[in-house]
Amino acid sequence: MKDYDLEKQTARRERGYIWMEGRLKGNLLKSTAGIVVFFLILYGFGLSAGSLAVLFAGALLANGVWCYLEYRREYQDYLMIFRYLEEFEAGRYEYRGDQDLLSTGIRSQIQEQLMRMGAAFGGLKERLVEEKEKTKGLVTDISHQLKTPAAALRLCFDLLEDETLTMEERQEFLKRGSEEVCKFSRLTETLLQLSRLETDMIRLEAKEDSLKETLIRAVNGVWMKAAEKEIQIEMQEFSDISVVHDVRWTAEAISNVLDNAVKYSKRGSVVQVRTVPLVSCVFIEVEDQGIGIPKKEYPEVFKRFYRGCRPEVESQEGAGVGLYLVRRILEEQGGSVRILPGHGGGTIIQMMLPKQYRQTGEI
Amino acid sequence: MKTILETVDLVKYYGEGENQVKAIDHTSIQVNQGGFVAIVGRSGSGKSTLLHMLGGLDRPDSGEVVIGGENIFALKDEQLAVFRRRRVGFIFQDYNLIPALNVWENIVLPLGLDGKRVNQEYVMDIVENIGLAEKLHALPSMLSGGQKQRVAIARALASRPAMILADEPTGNLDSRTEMEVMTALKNCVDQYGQTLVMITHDETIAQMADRILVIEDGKVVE
Repeated sequence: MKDYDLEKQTARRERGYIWMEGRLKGNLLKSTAGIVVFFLILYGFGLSAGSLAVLFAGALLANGVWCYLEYRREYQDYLMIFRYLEEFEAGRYEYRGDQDLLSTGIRSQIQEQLMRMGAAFGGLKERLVEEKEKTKGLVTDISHQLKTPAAALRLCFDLLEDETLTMEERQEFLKRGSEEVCKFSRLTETLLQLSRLETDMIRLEAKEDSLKETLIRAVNGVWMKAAEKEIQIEMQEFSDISVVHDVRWTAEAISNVLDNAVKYSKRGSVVQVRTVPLVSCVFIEVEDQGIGIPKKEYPEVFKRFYRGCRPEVESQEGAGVGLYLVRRILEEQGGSVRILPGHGGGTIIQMMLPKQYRQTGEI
Repeated sequence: MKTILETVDLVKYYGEGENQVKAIDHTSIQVNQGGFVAIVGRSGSGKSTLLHMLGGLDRPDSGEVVIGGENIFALKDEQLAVFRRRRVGFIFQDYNLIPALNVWENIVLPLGLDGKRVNQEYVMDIVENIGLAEKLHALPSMLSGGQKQRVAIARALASRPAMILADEPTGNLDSRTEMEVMTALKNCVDQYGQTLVMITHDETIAQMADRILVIEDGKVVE
C-alpha cells in the first residue's frame, strides 16, 4: 500500500474517533437540548411553525458543525502533545514540532513547555555521559601523573644493580631513591584527596563556625615551611565572624594558597592575609611578593594538573592540583576564587565565601 | 556536548569605502550547552556588536546565528521578538531596570509580556539564591549598584531562558562587588543548567569562565 493511502486511512479513522468520542456526543446532546427548549419557547409565543422549522434545522446543523470543529481542534492539540511524549519516551529528546512563534495561546505555551522538558531531559542524559567521560579522564590523568616518578624510581634501582658502582655512588643513588619515594608518597596523597573530592566521596559539611579558627588552622599548615624560608605570614587584624563553611576543607584550600605563596616567594619576603567582610559574603585575600603569574596563565592555573612552564615554577615540586582543589572547594560552597596582580609584582589570590551557605541543587 | 549557540561566517560592516569598520569579520564560533563562555576584547574590538547579533538584537550583513538548532535570522521581526523573550536572557552594564516598578515587579515583568503564569516558587528560589529576599518591595533607586545588577540577573533568569547573554555585567561595580555578583550569577546559571555568554574587557573577571574567546578587530581567536 502506498504511504498516501495509509495517511488517508489514518485520517479517516481519526475522524471516526472524533465522532465516536463520548464528550463530543455529550456536548452535542446538551446543546441540541438547549436549542430545542429555545424553539419550544418561541413556538409558545405563537410564531408560525413553518419558518420556525427552517430556523430550527439551520440551528441544529450549525451547532453540529461547531461542536465537531471545536472538538477536532482539541484533538489536534492532543495529537501535538502525544507526538512529543511519544518521542521523549523513545529517548529522542531533541524532537521539535513545528512551532509558530507568533501564536501565544494555551497550545503554544504547552508546546513551549514540552520543548523545554525535552531540552532538560536531553541535558540530564548528556550530563550522565559527561560524568562517565570525566571519570575516565581522571583515571587517565592520575595514571599519567604516577608514570614519571615511577620511572625515576625504577631508574634508581636499575642503576643500583650495576655491580661496578663505588660505595659513594651507591650511597648517592640510594639517597636519590629515597627522595623519589618521598615525592611519590606525597603525590599519591594529593591524588587521593583529588579523586575523593572529584568522585564526590567527600561531601563538604558546612556548618557555622569561626572564620578566624579556620584561618589559623590554614596558617599552621604552612608555618614550618615559611619559617624555613624566613617568610613572614602577616595576618591582618579583623573582628572574628562566623561563616557557614566546611572547616577542614576550607582550611585546606587556604592552606594550598599559602603554600603556593611561600613556595614561589623569595627568602625573607612577606605574605599578607587580609579578611574583608561584606554584607552577604566574606573575602579572604592572600598577597605575596613572589614571582607572580603572567596574565595569560590566569585561567590556566585553575585547571587540573596544569603547571607553569617557567624555570622558577618547574624547579619546585608540585602536581598542579593545588589551585584546582581550591577552586573546587570554594565553588562547592557557593564561593569563588580569582587571581589579581599584586601591588608589588606578586600575586593576590582573592577567595570569596558567602556567609550563608545554600546547598546547590544536585541531581 | 551539544552545541546550543553557533555562528556561521558572521559578517557585519559599518560605513563604506575608507570609513568602513569591520565590526564582525567572518566569525564562526560555537558554544556548548551548560557552559560559561567569556568573550574578551578591548573596546572597539566588535564585542558588543557580536553580542547583539548573538541575541538577535541586530541583523548581520551575512552569515547565520543558530540557537538551539534554529537560524534566528530566518525569523520575521515579530517572531524573533518572541523567540528572544522565551529563549534568551539579557544582562546589561547599566541594569535597565524600570524605576517606577519595585524589585519583584521588575523581575516578573518579562513573564507578563509572554502571557505566562508566574511560577512563584521558582522565582522566589532565584531571589533567595541571589540574596534579594529582603529587598523585594524596594524601588531600584533605593538599591546599590551591586543589588541593581542582581535584580537584572534575577529578571534574566526568571523566564528560564536556555541562554543568558551578559554585556559587561560588572562594568559599573567595584572589584569586590564585581566578584560577588559574578559568583551569584555563575552559581545560578550552574544550578539551573543554563548557558552563559559574557563579554568583557576585563581579564581578571574572564578567568571565572570555563572557556575564553578573544576578539580582536572583529575576528575571534581562542
